[in-house]
Amino acid sequence: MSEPFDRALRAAARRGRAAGVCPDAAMLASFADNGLSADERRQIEAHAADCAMCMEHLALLGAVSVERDTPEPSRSWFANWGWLVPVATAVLVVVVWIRLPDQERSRGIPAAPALDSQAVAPERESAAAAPVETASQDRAANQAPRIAAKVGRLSTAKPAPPSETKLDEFASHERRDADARQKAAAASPPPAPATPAAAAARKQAPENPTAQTLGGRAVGQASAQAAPPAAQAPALADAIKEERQVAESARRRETDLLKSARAVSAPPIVSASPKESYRAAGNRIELSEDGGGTWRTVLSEAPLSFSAAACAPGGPCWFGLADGQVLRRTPEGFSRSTLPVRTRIVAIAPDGPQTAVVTVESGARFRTTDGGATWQPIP
Amino acid sequence: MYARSAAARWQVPAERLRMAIERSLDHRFPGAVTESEAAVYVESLHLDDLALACACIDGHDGAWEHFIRDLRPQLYHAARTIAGDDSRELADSLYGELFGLPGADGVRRSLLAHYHGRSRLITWLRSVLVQRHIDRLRVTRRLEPLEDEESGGSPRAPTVTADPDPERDTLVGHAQRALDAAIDALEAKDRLRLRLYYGQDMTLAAIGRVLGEHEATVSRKLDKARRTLRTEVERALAAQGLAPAAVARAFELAADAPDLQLDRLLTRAEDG
Repeated sequence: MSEPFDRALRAAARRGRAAGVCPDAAMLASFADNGLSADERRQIEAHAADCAMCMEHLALLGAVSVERDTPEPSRSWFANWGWLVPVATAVLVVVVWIRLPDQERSRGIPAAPALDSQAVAPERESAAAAPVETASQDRAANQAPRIAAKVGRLSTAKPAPPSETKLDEFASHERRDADARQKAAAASPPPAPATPAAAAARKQAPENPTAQTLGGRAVGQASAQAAPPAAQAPALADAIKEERQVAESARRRETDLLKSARAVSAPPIVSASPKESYRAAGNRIELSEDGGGTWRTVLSEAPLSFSAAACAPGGPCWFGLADGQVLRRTPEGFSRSTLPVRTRIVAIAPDGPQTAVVTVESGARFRTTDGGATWQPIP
Repeated sequence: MYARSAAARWQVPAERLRMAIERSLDHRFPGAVTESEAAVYVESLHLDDLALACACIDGHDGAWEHFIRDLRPQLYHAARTIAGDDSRELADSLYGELFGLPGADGVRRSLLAHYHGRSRLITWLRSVLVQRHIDRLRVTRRLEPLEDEESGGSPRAPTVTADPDPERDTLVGHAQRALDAAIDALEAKDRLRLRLYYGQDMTLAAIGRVLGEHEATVSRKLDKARRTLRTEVERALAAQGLAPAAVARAFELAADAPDLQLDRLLTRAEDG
């Protein structure tokens, strides 16, 4: 009966529950890193235990964290007892050494470790007299050049980033990118390495409408100054291509945001009337009724933070939260609604007492025409 | 504190770091905070990562180079783990935001400004990435067109109303309600552990990492919770008058029943 019970339990465990306000990504990251107070931790546990979305978040976070930081402990017998291999090898070497005839030892087999033994291997008169050592020495002779080559590479190469332990297409792409930067840095006249030039190009990209062109040009200039050899050209081209892709991506997102015409990103102060102003400061909303002279807190939403705010002329004020919730302030007080997506709101554009358009950080926009009761995506 | 942060490595001035810490404190404690509370909080911060974030926000080339070399590959790797084919776009999008987008006032705002040092920077990056991924999935699911019922394209699963077993709905309803009630009665942490293991198919090691527990502890507590649940559910079903054979059958049916079954049964019960 246990198997049906477990399957029924699995089905029950997958059923989500309504669980109130979700913590944002930063809080869940702190939860995973054990960076919360005991009270905060209990709150998140109580919420996440009944929230399918937060559980999914924690599950994915756990999956990527475990994979990268601490490799999953292997459950195989060999891995658990792997330490026996070098120990057994050492014991075997000692035993063989003790059992060797004295004359064999005196013939010149050094008491040094295996790597040195290759020097005396040709001096052996009879391999059959000590097959174990011969095999060991052959392996040592075969391995030594490889080890030496490795040591040589290690001594001359810069330390590799930890990410290179698992090569995949992204890691190799990143490595090509980094290599291209390093090569350009080495080739460009000091003290202006290519990486700052690339970074400068990257920096210009989002700040300028012609970001893509500028980004490419800056890198191009750096490469022209450096006059890289032909062999470096493909790597540098990859780096330039990468920079352009990033810049283009940023530019597209910027355009999307700017399309939300009257939207204002998290303004410090929004005014509902000449005297009545609000400001969304961290995780609280403050109100000033004297034109900004004094402020008092009218709402606190810890542990969330407000990310956008706007007031309609003579109408209500709207406040966007980091988890996709929207608060609407009217003379009667605050009302709360939630977008179909649980993501940070970057802009709100009110358009009358009941209508507003919000833009979330992915660029998607949603409109309400009923004071926030429902939100419809804008294609 | 400044030395611990290694902020000098990125030429982050002490005043700049102090402002970042104060912003973090303000975020954590919106109201008044005692000196001891603040001291404990600041001590718990990942100041080295906070300093790195400050330097990146300020456009320090060396800091970005460090970010690109050490963190960006991990970010893209995490994206690939969770998003598969869409990982590149997901990671590129986030990377663009980390570098910063100009706001309406023309000032570039980096997403890193929202990092307060309460977790390691890489964990924060992964968490934001996961959040973006989930949001995208939700949008995709919402925008997926519904199948035209008239078209009769793909074969559909048989509807529940076609079930010839008259006892089925009753047994499933009993089992699901008993299970839900028993799960709800667990401590929050036990419930979370249980849902992560059974509901999200996480490994014991992954759960242990997220909850800060040893894998063996997770295993032991899961086993205890499972035994408690089973005892409670069987007791509840027996109280409904179900014989052991009927209890076993209820579990079998509940295991394969769709989730909506419970809602439908509850509605029916209320109607009746």
